[in-house]
Amino acid sequence: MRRLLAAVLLTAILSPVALAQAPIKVGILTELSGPLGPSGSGQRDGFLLYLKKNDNRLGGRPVQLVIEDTAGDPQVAITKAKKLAESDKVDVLVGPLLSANGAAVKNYLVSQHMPTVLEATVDEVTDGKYIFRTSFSGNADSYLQGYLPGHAGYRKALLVAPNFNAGQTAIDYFEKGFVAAGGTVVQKLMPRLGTPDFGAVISQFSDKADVGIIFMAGGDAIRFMKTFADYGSKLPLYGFTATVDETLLPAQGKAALGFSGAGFYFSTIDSPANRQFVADYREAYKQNPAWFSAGGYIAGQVLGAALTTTNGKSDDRDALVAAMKAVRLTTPAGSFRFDANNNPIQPRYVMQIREVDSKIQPVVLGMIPEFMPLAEPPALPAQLVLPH
Amino acid sequence: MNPHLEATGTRVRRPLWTDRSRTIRLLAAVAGIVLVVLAASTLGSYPVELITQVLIYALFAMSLDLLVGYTGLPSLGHSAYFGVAAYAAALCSLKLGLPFWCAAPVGLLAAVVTALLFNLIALRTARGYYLMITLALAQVLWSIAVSWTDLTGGDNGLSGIARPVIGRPLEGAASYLWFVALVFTVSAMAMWRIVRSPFGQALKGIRENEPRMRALGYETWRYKLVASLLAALFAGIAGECFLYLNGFVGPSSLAVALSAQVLLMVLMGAAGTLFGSMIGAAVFVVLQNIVSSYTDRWLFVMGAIYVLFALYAPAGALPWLRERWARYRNSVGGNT
Amino acid sequence: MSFWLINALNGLSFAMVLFVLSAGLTLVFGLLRIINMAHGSFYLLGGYIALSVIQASDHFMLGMASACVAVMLLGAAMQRWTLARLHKQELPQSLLTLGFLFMFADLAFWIWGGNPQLVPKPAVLEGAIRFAGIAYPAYRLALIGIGVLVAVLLWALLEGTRIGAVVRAGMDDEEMVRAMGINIPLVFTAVFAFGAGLAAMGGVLGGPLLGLFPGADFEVAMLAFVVVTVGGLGSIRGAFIASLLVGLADNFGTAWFPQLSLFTAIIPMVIVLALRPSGLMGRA
Repeated sequence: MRRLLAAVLLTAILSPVALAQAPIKVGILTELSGPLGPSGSGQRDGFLLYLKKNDNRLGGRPVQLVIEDTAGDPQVAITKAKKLAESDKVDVLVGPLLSANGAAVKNYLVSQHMPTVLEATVDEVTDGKYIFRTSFSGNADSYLQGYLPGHAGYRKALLVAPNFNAGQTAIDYFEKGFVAAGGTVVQKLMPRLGTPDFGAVISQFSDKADVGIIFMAGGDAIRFMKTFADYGSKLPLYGFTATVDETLLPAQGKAALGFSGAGFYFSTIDSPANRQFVADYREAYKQNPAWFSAGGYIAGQVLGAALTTTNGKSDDRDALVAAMKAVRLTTPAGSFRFDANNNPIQPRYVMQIREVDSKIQPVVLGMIPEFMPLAEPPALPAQLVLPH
Repeated sequence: MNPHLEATGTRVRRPLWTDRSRTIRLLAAVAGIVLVVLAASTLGSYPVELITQVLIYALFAMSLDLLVGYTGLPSLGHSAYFGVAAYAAALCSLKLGLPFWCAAPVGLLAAVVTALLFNLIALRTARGYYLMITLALAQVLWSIAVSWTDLTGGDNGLSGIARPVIGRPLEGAASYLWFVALVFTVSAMAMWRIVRSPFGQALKGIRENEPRMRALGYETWRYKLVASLLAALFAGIAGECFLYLNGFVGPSSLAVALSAQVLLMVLMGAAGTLFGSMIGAAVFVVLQNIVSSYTDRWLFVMGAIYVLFALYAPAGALPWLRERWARYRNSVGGNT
Repeated sequence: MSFWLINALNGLSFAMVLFVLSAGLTLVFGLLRIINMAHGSFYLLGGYIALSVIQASDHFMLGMASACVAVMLLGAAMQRWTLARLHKQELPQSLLTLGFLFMFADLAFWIWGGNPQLVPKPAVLEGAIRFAGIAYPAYRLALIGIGVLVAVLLWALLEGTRIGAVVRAGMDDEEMVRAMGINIPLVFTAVFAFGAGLAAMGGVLGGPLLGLFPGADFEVAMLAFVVVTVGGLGSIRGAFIASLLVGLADNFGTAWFPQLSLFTAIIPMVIVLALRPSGLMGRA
């Protein structure tokens, strides 16, 4: 009898702990193969690094992971989102990087009330409720890339971006930003995605332009920068830092020198949080983190902080997303919070690609401490000096 | 003799393969599908979704088999018809607000017209070129889908297309599976009739020896064109089934990768058998959705499976299984 | 003036890359009647192997040589042990080579990672050369020369040597060559390996321009398919002319009609095949 009582007591004492110990199921749904495979893998690795540093727990609960590859195909992304939500019954989701995939799974995830942290940059993906973004919003950042060279004093711009959604948006908002800063656009070029030879594009560059504003990605970005350098052009280049992403710099080499732009994360940001993050990431994966890896890590921080607020509870989805919305963080990218649309409000770092200690890298020249994710003239600090 | 049947070695025709038993087997297949759907309906929604996809891909692959296996026209641009039908139906319902009963036929018409335009060029070309020219033409459509963002939504595609309402809305995964199973069965039976008809026999004749068919007075060009239009029609049906599955269509529905995958389903299952494609479709869906959950190297596994099939079952999975089955029967029950 | 000169040179240098990429494909089709879907994989593997060797040894020619030899061995093995078993079976051959395409792509992703890379150029060919009032990249000028050299050597090999005569005879009538007591399976293996080596060479020469990344195999294969179809399957001379046509059309097309740049490589193909169903130099 006494032993039974003891057992009951013990159970009573242990059960809240046992409840808190029940694992939280986290789905990762991103691009793990195909052209965006390296970026999606970086996002996953950033998230895994956060878990590793935190004893594989989010808000005190051990984490059970289910990882799925979208293969860069929205149809696959939808099918696997259904699998994660209905078959694996994950509690939260770390979502895709590719905008098309983000757009494709959005409606379904919202209908499932699935708290989701993703990195797809196309504006429509966030819903202000369940879908959060840890990277940046395409429109606002395109506007910024157009605004900065205008602010630096350039007056006539030529714009180059590949002819698909993100490229067309980039061109629109480059122009809006550049015009708002007092410049005029003299030429817009939209080569096809996967242009094998940029010779024909670059040899058309107007000599009236005093700056080029560029968005290229992946293989296109390498070919574009290399060909541009081969032609010996002296046109200064601004634009999306994806064009000279840190994963591309080893291939681009000296061809990337002088490219300027603003981004939310570079491995060369000089802050205690980032130095630690870079050291940990290098130790785990033998390479520098890029912006998508930082985004994955921040996703871990967001979920960790929100689940701490809810004492590890994830059943009440509305309470969980409210807690996510309220997070205030210091991330490797700086101070972090969400706006009403679940877009991140975090700093922007203005950088130029330079050679330091015979290593080609983004050199941070200044920062915009709090960049509101809106397509309007940003509040630039007075001391910000832009490359001209 | 068809070279890829030759590879299976001598297959003696047994009474098992008579016309009557073909009908019986067809009925058995239909019953099998009904059973599978019934069993699937009791499972969770994810397995139901995968079985739905298998049926859609199988239908798509069977439509390509009309060209590859029966007419001897290997196409690497078959996604064009799949995608065009889906896009056209999606645009009809999103931009024009047409109901399913109008949008779906318009989509199919678009697929058939596309096939007509493509094949006016492609069928002129010499043997061996058909593969490449269909690839290039399909690529043109893909490019348009990616870059004409105002119309097609670019690589974000078109989403939010509601499922058809037949009596009641086909909202749940299981009720949509029933719908797809019905469409699949009707289409498969129609294709079966086509390949068994004199028209189908003429197609096989063209595959085996086109000059001889021409000498016999057949206008082979016209036969090939009609086969292409029929193939496009059924590919379009598959494309629309896929559209309503997720309410979404994007450029991946027009991509070369999809054309290559569906060609692989046909070749792996067995070209020229129609139902072999079901095996190819099932293997593909399992690899893409289930194997990929366990290994990052799933593309390697997929490639290796194709290589092994090419080497050890060059005529495809279905004849290979039949041969095994025949051997087993022979060893068990003698020659009956 | 400089517009014409620059775009003509751009078109020519791109055309020479196209030629080296597609020569092997068309040669293999001409003799073995195989449309090798994995041709782009040989480009990718050749480029990656060269990249690794150049990074380790800092020697461009060594990188080129090792890439060509390694991929030729791979091609020989692939033909000897797999393709040879499916001689003249068109459909299983497609299944096989597409399977290899997936395997090689994933293998490359595994070994070299997915970040886009470039094969470094030889140091002497960095930068631009000034002439006739323009600055033009030295490497591209060199490509034009190398492309012509490869074409001349291939022509000499096919037209002027005994091996070339056997290959040409094999293209016309395999049985006759066999009857003459020539070891035709050996010739097949050699030609397939040679074609693979040419694609690898394309990876090394074109690598500094086109880049190496997941999906480059597919992009390159598409370009090579367009070229060999326009030129006529099996014709080296056709491939050369088609390379020029596609290279120049893509450059001038992009320059004149930037909105149509999606189709500048494909429109010439559709026009040529509509007029000549067997391509420019193909035999019906």
